Amino acid sequence: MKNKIISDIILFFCFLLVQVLLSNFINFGPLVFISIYPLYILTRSRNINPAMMLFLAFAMGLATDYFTGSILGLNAAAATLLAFIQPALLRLVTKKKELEGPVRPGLNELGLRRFFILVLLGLTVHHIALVELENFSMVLNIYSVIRIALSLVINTILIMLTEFGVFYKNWR
Amino acid sequence: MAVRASAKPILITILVFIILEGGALWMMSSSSFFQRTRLNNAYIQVEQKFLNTNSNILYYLSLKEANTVLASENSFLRNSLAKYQAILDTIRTRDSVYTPLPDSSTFSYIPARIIGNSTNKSHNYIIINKGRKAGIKEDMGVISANGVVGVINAVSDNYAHIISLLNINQSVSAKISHSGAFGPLIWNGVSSSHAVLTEIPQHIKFRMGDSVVTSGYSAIFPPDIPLGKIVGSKIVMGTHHEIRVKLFQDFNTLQFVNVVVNNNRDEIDSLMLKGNEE
Repeated sequence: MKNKIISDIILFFCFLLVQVLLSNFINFGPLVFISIYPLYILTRSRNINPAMMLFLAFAMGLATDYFTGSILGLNAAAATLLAFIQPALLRLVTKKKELEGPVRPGLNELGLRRFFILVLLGLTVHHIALVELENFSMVLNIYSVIRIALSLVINTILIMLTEFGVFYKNWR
Repeated sequence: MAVRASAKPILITILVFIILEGGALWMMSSSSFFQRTRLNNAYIQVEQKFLNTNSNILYYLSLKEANTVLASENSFLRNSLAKYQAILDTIRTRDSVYTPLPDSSTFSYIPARIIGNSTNKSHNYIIINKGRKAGIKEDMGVISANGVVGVINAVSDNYAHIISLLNINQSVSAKISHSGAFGPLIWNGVSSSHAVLTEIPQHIKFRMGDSVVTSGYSAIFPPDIPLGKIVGSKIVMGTHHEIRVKLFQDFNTLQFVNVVVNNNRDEIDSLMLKGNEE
């Protein structure tokens, strides 16, 4: 149990580091923003305390904001929202008594199709929240739609690859 | 074993979520000029709405006082109007001969507030907060700004009991203002917003929407108080019209009334008595 908590903390900082490195040192232009940390929030197991998870997501978003120099609180708000709806998304893609307890809902456990749906839904909510908060209005103009769609495609591919390359293989 | 989640942890989660999102928004507003402006705009709009509602509520609370003032002012105006009417009549009839102006007119008015009212029975009554001490007697008429309310049938020291127009035993002498044909206006006990004007001869012509006013032949009500407008009619027994009248007065929202005092009542009564004896 203690081992698991320590590995979780390490995972948290690894995600933060990757996020900061990707955002800071590679220039993707104004139409694309990179978010890799949603993978960390989306693959929390079901037995974790929801309030605790909200705090974790908030800390993750806030640290991302701080280190990447964006508006402070922007990623924090989006990440908290994502953590808030993550249990509902998990309920959507799993059957009733499936994945109880400390099982990580990853590519191996869910299968490709269900994991892809989980990531796509989560990222859609996260990206819409992020762009809306940045514009600070409920109206979506064409620029914002293009930005959301492009980032969604790139981040989905990135997250699927990361999941496949880092977690899926190591689990075997 | 599936454990059903109880409400408490969910509430805590929602609370934490709201607090964290609020914190994030606050941070955004303090770190970015654009977001701060938008938030301030939203805040100002909400504040304006709130202030608006507040002033509306205050306005509503002061309505009672305003109503009392308006009611007494209305009575005063009616009194002076009746007085000038009397003077005008005198001037018209004897314009060449000087006569001292009468110090009182035929009708004067006493304002009162309704403290008890019913509209859902077939014998409806109203109670007002003025009685014998204010000079109210039995068989005085009661009107409001929108028409006839009823006739007083019992008086105590401080209160008076009115037979409402919405009473199947009550009738008011009314006429069609256009043609002058008159008949009793009675309530048929169907709807609180409609009454029936009967005994209008068959040859009388009228149109839908013509207004019905008091005739002034009864010594209880002054003439030409608007009562309602014609909305339908049928011929009863081949002899007379029975006209449906939509009343101007909404008895459900009635609050302030004026009691009509006929200053020449005794004189008229004694004259009628004398006429009957002969």
